[in-house]
Amino acid sequence: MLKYLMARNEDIPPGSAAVYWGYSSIVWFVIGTGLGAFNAAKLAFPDFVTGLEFLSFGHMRQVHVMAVIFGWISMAFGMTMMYMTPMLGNTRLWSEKLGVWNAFLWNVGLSLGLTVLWWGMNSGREYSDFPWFIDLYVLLFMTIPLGINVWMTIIHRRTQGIYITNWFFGAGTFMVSIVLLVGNLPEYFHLTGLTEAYLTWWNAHNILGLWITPVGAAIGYYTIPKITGNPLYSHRLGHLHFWSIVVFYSTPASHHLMSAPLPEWLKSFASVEGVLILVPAIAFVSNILMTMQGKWNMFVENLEVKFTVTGCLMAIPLNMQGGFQQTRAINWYIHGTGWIVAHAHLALLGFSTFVEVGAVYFGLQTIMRKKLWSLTLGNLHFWFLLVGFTTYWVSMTIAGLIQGAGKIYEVPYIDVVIAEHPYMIARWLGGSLVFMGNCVWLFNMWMTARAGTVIPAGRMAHELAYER
Amino acid sequence: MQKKSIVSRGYLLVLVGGMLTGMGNGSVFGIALMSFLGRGGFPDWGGWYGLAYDPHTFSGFIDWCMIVFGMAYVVILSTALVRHNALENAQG
Repeated sequence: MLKYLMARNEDIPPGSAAVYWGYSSIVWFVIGTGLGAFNAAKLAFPDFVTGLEFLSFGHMRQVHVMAVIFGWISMAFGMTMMYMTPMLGNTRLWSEKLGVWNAFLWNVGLSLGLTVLWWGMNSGREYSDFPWFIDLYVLLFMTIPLGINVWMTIIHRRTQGIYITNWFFGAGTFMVSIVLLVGNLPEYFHLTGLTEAYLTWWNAHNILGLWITPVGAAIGYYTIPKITGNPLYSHRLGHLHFWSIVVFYSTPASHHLMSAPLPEWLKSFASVEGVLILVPAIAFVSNILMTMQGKWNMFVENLEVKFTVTGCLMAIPLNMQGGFQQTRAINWYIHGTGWIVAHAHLALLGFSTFVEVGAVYFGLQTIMRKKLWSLTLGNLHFWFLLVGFTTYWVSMTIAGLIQGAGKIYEVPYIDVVIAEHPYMIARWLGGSLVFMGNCVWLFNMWMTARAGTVIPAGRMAHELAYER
Repeated sequence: MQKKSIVSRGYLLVLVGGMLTGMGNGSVFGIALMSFLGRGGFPDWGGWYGLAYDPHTFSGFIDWCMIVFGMAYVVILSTALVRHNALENAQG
């Protein structure tokens, strides 16, 4: 792949950038979940690996979070954008060379950023942990070039309209750059106090609300109609989803700071806007489920559909939790507990990941013209991910409820720690299953590239029977 | 024509997916209800081990809300897939 860095744009085969992004994302997924499982082991067994500063939980947590957000999730987004945007515009990617360079610089920047975090140099701001010079790199060499390629491909499309997926891709790449620019202002200008707190959570909230969840949904709008052969149930519902996200979900942030001395009107405003997330959520879920009409056999037969629809089902509790967790009463109970950690994983490791995995499976087979090497390993990957994630999520949710009750009942902290211990072990087991599943996935995709059956011209990957 | 129905081929998926979907909603309902009702005496907090699954305790009640909602979503998903199976088989 590196040979294309110096090649002329015309000499780079279409889809090369997408393949580079796709395999990078899988490798980062293995690394990110491996780090997560390691961190979970430290919470379950406090004497596990002690005495090494760079392996302490305080150093490792940020590395795990950033590896997953910018490595797995964002690179899988980049992969889908590299192949879905041109396909939906009936054209080629605007610049295959920019795509390849973008993936290369993304990997270099992320490796650099994680190394810096590992050394203990960070901003001290959750979800924007990178120091300022890495933040600038992320903006200039990672998100803006991605946005340019996506936007220029949409502008040079050869179709009359813009399909809903490309609406989200165009807006998502634009919004994430704005979020990273504004959200990191406290680091560039040394803003402190409430301003820093507000901007920190504006950044954290919008990376999830304007990047990870909407782009994840956009991928579902492509994958399900493409594989089932059904047209999208309603383009209008898709537009309702898009505009309600942009209008309702770009403003909340103070709902992360309900106990902070921010103006009360601001917290109430954020709370109401937060509940309104149910509008785009219901629009998305109903649109996808209605698109499945007449093709529900594929829910149990087709690996990509299985991943995508399961992810879509996870969007229901995700948004129900997300919509109501920042109302004052519920927030009072669960704030600062493992319930929030479970919810964050429902967004990233549940909904978004399942939809993305389906799209990466489908995309890599389609671009490389190679049938998936092993359905058995694919199914194993699915079940490792689903059972591992469910174990993790259920145990963390219940542990969070116990922590919340402990807070209300003013139970001594150490007693809450003792009560939580079984759930920390379950969390580690669940996380380890996810990590093992991803190792299986990496092997399966490696074998697909090397030994997958060639897909004949004019056929699609899912139309061919599996061989093993 | 399929020999087995969608639900019989995907019962594990329906079970795990349905429980997961329902339990998330159940946790929100349980928290809202218990926050409204308020706490009882100290022995009712329901933190340690089996007490977290005793519906008479504060935590245990919410956990049971999650389990009941989970089972309800398994039923909803199964019913929907049974009907879709009938429709898809009718179409041949």
